[in-house]
Parts: sequence; C-alpha cells; structure tokens
Amino acid sequence: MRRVNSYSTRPSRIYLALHSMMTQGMERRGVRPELLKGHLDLLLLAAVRRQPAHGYAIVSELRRMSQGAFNLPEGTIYPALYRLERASLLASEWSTDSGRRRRVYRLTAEGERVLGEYLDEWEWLAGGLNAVLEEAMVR
Amino acid sequence: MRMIDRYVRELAERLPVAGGLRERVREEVTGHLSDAASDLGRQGVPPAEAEQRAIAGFGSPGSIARGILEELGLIARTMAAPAGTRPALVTA
Repeated sequence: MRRVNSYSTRPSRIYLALHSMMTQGMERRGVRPELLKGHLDLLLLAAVRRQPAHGYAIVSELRRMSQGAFNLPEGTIYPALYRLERASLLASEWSTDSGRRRRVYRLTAEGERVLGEYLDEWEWLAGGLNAVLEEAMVR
Repeated sequence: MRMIDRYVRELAERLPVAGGLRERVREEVTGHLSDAASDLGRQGVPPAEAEQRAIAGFGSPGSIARGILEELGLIARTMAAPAGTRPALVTA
C-alpha cells in the first residue's frame, strides 16, 4: 500500500513539490508515463532553477532528485523544452565543454514566476488529496 | 557513433522545419546520446551496446519528431515569436 505523506515539517517548496509526487515503492515500479507528462513543465522548470543545465543533465538531475522515480524516455523532454523556450519561460544558449557543444537551458524571470504559480497549484492539489486520503485510510 | 548518427538522421528526416532548427535538434540530440553512451561506457558497457541503450532510452525518432512538431505547431498558432525566429513549418 502506498504511504500517504503528511507534512509535519515544511521543507523548501521545490523539494515539497517534487517529493510529494512520489510514494514509496515508485522507484521499483516506475510511474505511468501519462501521469508524469502532465507535470513535465513543472519538473523541467524546477530542474534548472538552481543551476542552468543541458538536456542530458536535466534528465540525470530529475532522476537523481526523484530518487530514480522519474525515468522518462529521455527524448520526450526536448519538445517540452522547445515549447517552454518559445514561451520565454526558459532561455538557452550553446556552451562548449570538452570539445562538445551543448545547449544549456536556464530559468527566466517569467519562468520563475510561472514556477511559483505551479507550486501554488500543486500545494493546493496535494494538500487536498492528502487530507482526503489521510482521513479515508484511517483504520 | 554509427548508430547515433543513423538515429539522428532518421529524426531529422522527420522534421520538416527550417534548417536552423533542424541543425540545432541534430546537434543537441547527438550530444545527448553521446553523453549517455559515454556514461554507460564508463560503467563498463561495451561501446556498441552503450549506443544501443542510449538510443533505446531516448524514444523512437517518430515519437520524438511528432512531439517536437506538435509543440511547435501549438506555439505557432497561439504565440507570436519574434520575427524571423519562428520555424517555417512546411506542409508535407
């Protein structure tokens, strides 16, 4: 059975948003791709918030931050990255490192603002879901 | 690199977009797959298998190309990109 998280302590909001998407055991089972896809924008914006990164690093970072739970087909991030860049939530430029050019993405001021909105939405949704589930699952 | 090059060629062939964007996708995806294969190589995976696994983890060229075209198509309809930067979507 999945454990329902309750937030007795309040870690950083980014951590909260990512952590609350997971339940124990997800690392072994994986997660339905369509469930993750609905949150891909939030994840991508959050992944480059503290440090700009290229696509491969973003995938690796999401895998690490989610403790292995988010293991997307890696190519699926690019369509979303291009759209987020078109929407000016991300900006990108080439960077050369050990002879290979990589396209590095960073969060824009507008992206930071939208990420904050996502987090508000997510906290509202997760808080409501958790409240319902915690009461429903009481033995 | 042969498998990665072939994969990227297949992806690019499915992208009827302006040459600049296609080149960007080509270079970006080549870099991604090369990094992934290098990491696997460092874990002891033989080169050919490393390339194969990197490609398998990326998704099929058809699905990635469709994703890119869908996202750009949506943006082209709903958002004004700065003049000259919007990729020209060529009807097939």
